[in-house]
Amino acid sequence: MTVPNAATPSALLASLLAQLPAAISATISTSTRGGYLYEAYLFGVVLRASRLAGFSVAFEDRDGVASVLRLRGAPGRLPIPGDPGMRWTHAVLSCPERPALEVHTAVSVVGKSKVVHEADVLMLPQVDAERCRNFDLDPRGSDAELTIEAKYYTDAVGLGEGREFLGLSSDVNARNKMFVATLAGNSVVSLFAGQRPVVQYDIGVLPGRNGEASLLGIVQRVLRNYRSSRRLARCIRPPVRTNAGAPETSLLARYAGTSFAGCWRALRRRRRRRLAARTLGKSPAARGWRPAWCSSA
Amino acid sequence: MPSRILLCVVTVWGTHSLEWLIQGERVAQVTEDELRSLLSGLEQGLAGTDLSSLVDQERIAAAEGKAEEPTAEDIEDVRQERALRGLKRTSGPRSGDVRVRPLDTSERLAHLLDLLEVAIGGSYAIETHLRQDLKTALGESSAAQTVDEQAVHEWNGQVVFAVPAESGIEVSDQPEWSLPDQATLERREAVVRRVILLINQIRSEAGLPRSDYLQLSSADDSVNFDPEFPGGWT
Repeated sequence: MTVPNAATPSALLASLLAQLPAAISATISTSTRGGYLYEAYLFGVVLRASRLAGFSVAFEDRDGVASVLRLRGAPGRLPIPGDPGMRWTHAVLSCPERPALEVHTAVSVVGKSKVVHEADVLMLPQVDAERCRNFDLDPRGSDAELTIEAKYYTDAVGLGEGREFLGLSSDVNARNKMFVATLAGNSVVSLFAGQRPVVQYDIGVLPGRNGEASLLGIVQRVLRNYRSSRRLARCIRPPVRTNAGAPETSLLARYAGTSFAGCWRALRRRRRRRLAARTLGKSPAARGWRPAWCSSA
Repeated sequence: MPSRILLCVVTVWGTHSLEWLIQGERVAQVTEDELRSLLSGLEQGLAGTDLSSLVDQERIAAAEGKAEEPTAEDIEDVRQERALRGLKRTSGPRSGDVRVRPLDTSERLAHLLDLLEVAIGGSYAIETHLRQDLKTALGESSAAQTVDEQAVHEWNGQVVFAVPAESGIEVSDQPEWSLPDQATLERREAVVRRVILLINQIRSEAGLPRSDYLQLSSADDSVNFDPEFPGGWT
């Protein structure tokens, strides 16, 4: 190992400043680029966590499987696929139990106030991403499983940014929102640490550091929860036509694409109808109907 | 035999002095004036490079300050002063009472050196590991038999960044750029190593701590990082 010779601090400083230009990456020499490199790194962390959580990972673009990982170097929109041959790439996370998820970088999401915000990393169900692509919509924050707000060293991370994130969190109703930074001042850490309900944040998220291990753990937990959850709306597939030409009659298929609240209201309506029918003696059970498994037994 | 003992002593002394130099365990020998001059020199030096944003960050952190709880000595000082002046006893501070004070010179310099280490070492580590991390994430799904998942291996390892047309930024201002290849990164390794060593040496000379956020993790994933490389950035 080469150790610089012992010298006075001022001589060391002069030597350091002389070495700096060669040590800075040419690709991130402009301040904006570094932030997008950091988003790509976080994208990689999310994919690693997905693998650890048992998901399979694939790179796709609008045309199918992607051979080049092409990421946005400035804020963009999810429904815009990019020019032919230069499509934006996203990752598709699949598991047998639940519908696939997509991971995007630097795309806008719409908050409760219908104002657009930028999600540095966005994870949302593929069904919702497809709906956005088909109808040229920006994804709703409430559709997101995870949004990450990333701050690279080139972005000042002060109280202003912390407060901005808290404001963003209240508008973007994603299931999991995270603030991630390379380094931050004490005041931001104190600001987040003092919040109730708890704000998810990780400082020092860099290769091989504790912050990275912590972020990996959080994303793994998010994915495990997604895998084991029984939410209805997100797992509904589009209505399927049967061979007879009649639409499938299941309630889930009928309310495909509606929100969770919509499904819940529909289920309650159906329950009310059944209760009413039972009181009138017209319930399916009263007519001698039995479920399929019961009759086969 | 005595020459062997001498060799052992020299080796042990050499190892310890190197650790002592790098880990910053040496007692501070620089004065407040020297620290101030170091800080202003570093700020001026960075302002002329692409790393000028670090100076802004350091100044923001300095102004926002640090919360401190009053110590037992502070409380005792106030009580004694009031007793001397003949004032009546006052109630002590309550739990959770803090004062926010701006960062002092040594804290500011320590923070700026941490930021600089992240900018150089952290960025280098991200560039070095990103491609491999992505390949690892994709590689595990190779056991899957579907056509789509087999096609995953069509990824050629290229990571390209470009400006979307809808961002409103002129594409000519920011042309497409890609992650540097391994050969380019290897060429930069020596200078990154030297810079991190110099940062550590300045910390050591000035008796400044390194942020806990920069400590190498003990998680399994971090076994890929070389602890011999200063800061464990590769």
